[in-house]
Amino acid sequence: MKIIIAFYILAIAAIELIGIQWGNVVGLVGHALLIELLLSQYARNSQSEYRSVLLVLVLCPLLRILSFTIPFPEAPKVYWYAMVGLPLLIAIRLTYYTLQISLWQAVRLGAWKYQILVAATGIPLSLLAYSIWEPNPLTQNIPHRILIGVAFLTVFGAFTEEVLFRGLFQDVAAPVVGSKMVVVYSSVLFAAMYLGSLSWGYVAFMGAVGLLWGWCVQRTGTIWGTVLAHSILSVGMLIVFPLM
Amino acid sequence: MTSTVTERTITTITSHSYDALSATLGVVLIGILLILVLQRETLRAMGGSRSRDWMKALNIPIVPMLGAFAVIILLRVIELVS
Repeated sequence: MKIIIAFYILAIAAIELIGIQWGNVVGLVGHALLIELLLSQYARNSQSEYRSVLLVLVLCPLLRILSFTIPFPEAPKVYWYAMVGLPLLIAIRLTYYTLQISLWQAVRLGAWKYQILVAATGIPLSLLAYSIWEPNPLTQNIPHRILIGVAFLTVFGAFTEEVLFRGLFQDVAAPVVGSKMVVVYSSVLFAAMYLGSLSWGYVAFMGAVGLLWGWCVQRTGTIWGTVLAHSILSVGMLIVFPLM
Repeated sequence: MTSTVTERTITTITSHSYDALSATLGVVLIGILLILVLQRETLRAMGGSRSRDWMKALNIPIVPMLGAFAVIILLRVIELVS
């Protein structure tokens, strides 16, 4: 089972690379085929813990399909995060419902001191991410646009990704691959979804960040600290540092 | 940049017109959605507990893709009207 899950994670990464190499249409068709494969395996398999992981993995190719088909050039870039993030959040909620897991398990409050410490990791990581990638500012230096940017990056970027990779995936995969290895699996999956950054340095960096945050979530049992850290990382890298 | 909107997403969307995007990636999405909906309806006709399970799982990609489909259609209609 561990090997099959590793195979699917590598397949997601391979299709991302195929999309980069041979074009988006080929990439999207590859992701669609993977969704079909994962769903058919889910339906055929009777071992509930393993099949749950397959269903969660469906969300990754789905994320990529949505990210290429919903945004349009006329909409400001900052809105793209909501355009992709909202339907993805709906899909995540449907997955929780189908698997009969409570979302509140991952987002429960508690261990505030540790959560603040985890959130603080976002500050140095943000600076590091900016120095690796040096992106253009996501929005102009207009207060209400900056506020919208911060809100969208937090809800549709940080929260959505943390629920998916650290909350849902780690939760369902831990009984199958083991509580230590699940952090490695989730960070590889997380890094694979960043292959579209077209920078190997940035992919490696996000893989390392995934390992750190995965470990934090495993130790504290909640994702709030990493949601805040992820939000600080994204806002710092895409809005604060580029505008300074 | 996040995994939801990557550099490749930005490059693709900004370097093509919406016409070109909806005629390539949009058509692929509609094709995928059509296959998934057909599959779901076939499973509904077949019945049985395994089919019900599969149908529930199919809702996960179908529902957000319907949202994407609605955006594509809406933008095409706006384009036609204007």
